[in-house]
Amino acid sequence: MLPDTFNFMLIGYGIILGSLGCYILSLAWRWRHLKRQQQELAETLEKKT
Amino acid sequence: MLDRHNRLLAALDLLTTLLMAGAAGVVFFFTPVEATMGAVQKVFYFHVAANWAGMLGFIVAAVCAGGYLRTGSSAWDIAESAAVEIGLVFTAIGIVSGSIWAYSAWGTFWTWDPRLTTAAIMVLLYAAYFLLRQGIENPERRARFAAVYAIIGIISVPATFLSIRMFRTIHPVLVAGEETLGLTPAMQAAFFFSLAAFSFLFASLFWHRIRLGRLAEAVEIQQSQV
Repeated sequence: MLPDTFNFMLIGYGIILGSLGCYILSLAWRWRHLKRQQQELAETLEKKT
Repeated sequence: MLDRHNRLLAALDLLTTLLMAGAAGVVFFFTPVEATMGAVQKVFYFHVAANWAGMLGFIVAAVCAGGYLRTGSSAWDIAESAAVEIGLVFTAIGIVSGSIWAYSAWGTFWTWDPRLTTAAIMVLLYAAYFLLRQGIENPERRARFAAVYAIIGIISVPATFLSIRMFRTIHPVLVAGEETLGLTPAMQAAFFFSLAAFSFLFASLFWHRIRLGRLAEAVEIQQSQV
């Protein structure tokens, strides 16, 4: 008889795919944050000159 | 030129998404359920692939570190830190998914087995890489120290890979001579498909992370002008 380890499989794949999703979201968040910062700095530089 | 790069990256992203979905489909619907461990054995396909992508990241980082020390170009430094970051993410995923499998198979999440110990040391070593980077303000000095560290750190990769072949361990050895862990042809197909999918995922994430690094560098330069 096969051992019932289905829940462990679900947890394992949940962690793998969830972590990858979180990392991809973190890349997107950092990109947006830097773009905003870049825009603000460009505006500040423009005002100075 | 930029548009061409963006289109290429979008194509790579699409291909990676299709490959990952394909790998998951093959793992869930085409591989048989292993007789002694049951469904949890299916974690093995993505667990090994994640560890492979992690080690690939550290190897790429060492190559980029060599490139930086040879040329002094910040592009190599950006690629190096990108590769370490992604390698760290994949290795952490590999360790955590492995511990889920271990709990089901061994009855414990963690044991100080040679493979698990060397993998943990590898993660700590590369986590310290970012502490080193944060501790040095001068960009050139930071890049030089980080490059040397990435080259020294690469020793942990073969040490982790070979630990199950050099020491007595309870961790399964995937390939030992002609033996391949008793994988059926369908299991082997799923295994190699997963390895390919994670290699493409690594390439895609690496490209995105390099773009992010370049943007961060541009912002840093702008900040110094304000």
